[in-house]
Amino acid sequence: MSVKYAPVKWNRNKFVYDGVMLLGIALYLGCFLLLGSLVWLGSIEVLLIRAFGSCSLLMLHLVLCIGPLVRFDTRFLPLLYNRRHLGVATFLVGFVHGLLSLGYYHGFGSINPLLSLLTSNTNFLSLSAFPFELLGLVALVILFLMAASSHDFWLKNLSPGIWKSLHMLVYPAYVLLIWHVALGALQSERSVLYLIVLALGVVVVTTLHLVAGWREQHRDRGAS
Amino acid sequence: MTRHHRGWHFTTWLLLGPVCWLAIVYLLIQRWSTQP
Repeated sequence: MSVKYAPVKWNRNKFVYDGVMLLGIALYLGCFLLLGSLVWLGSIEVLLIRAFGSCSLLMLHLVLCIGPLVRFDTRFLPLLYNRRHLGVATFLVGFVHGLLSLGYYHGFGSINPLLSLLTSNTNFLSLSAFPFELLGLVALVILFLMAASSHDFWLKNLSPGIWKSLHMLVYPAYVLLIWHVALGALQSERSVLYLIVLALGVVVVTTLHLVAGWREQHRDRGAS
Repeated sequence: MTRHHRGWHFTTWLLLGPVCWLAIVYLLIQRWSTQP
């Protein structure tokens, strides 16, 4: 017994969805780099790292909001239609952020960059000097596993239960990324604006999921 | 989504949501305590 591989079928809706998504990514990166180059006094490499990192985190917020939004209102269903591609793109943008960071901060030493990333900072008991990069690395590995298995072939091959459990790892990955930003970029960037933006994202995502879940629990109890 | 899955999603966010908020609280305390 084996699972037959069927290639992804493309249609007009998928092309439009991906086109809008790619345009959005390009616009975000373009605006971030343009505005950043006007106010940022550091190097262009760090600006690029921040652009890709923040873009990936914003995309993850969108991915996570789609589920509860659809449960509130079916008019959001078109967003759910090709969420897999949005998820894969989120990983790819995050991967570029990871590669740039690895090259810039660990690529010019005498030891392997990945080994340097894993061993150079061992301040696990300090919050302000915590090796936040490791949080991002674990989250990126989770996003990779999800992106690699985002196909009906893997859904059938792994069984829906295991596949769903694997994809629910996006929730701990989100928590890891919030702490990655809090203990990383926001330790050097002290402007309250960045803190407000991050807090807004956390409040929106967690409130949407909790309210949607609470409503459904209430409805389920009423039905039984 | 089945009732079982809905329960899992809700419980997961009940546990993980506060961990996210904790990061924001930590940043707020840090900013407040280091104000000149």
